[in-house]
Amino acid sequence: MKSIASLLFAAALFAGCQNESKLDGSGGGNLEARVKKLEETNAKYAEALDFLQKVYGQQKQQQQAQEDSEPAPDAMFAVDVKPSVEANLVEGPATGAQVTIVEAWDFA
Amino acid sequence: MKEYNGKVRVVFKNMVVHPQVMNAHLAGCAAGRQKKFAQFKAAWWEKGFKARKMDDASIEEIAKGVGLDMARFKTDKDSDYCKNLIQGDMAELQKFKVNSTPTFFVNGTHVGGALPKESFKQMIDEKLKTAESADYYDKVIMATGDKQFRSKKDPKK
Repeated sequence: MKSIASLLFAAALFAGCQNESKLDGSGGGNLEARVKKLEETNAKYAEALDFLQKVYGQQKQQQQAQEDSEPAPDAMFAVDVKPSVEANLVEGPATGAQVTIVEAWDFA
Repeated sequence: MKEYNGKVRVVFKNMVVHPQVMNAHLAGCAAGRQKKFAQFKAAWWEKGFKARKMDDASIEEIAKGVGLDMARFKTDKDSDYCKNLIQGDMAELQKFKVNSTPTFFVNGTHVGGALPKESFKQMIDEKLKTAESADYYDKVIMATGDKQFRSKKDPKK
């Protein structure tokens, strides 16, 4: 039993040594040829990769801008209402309200 | 608003997004000087904005229609007071990165854009539970709130 196992191990080792490097293998040609082919492929898709890189960059910037413009959920913004109250731009009581709604308003 | 029996107020801050209605904003300020801002605003939507009559003559007609003292209205509309008020409002809103209308702050909580009435009501009801006193806005929000915009990436100071 032990000898069969040893035989199988030796066979596997031999088979492993027989395998050619994948770089020199079925792709055809030697290492230089394969590198050249890779370079050609890279050049062929360079424009597309560049484009994708730009799109990715733009999307990341947009995402960043969006995160920067989203208010913190725990924020309590202290908008000064005094000038508007003094100018009577109020609906409801000018003073004494428990809840103040500030509305940024445009006439269009 | 009426159903809250004086517990809720809406304070309007001028945010001139469309320059063609700058005169309407000045007119709104002038109407406010005569404590008729709400009436002017309501009339403006019907007779000015919806009717696409936004020129000076139409604004004056609307002002007359809501019973404003026209001599005073004209003086106030052209006054530095109203110009400064609008500029001041916009500068204040800029600190909170407001760049579109409508934008709301309900006891300091930012609401970007219009909400369905029910959602607004729910939010007001929630705020009423935590706002103990009538001077809550001055004592709590103005005293302890954020004095400028803080994004979700910025930690609370």
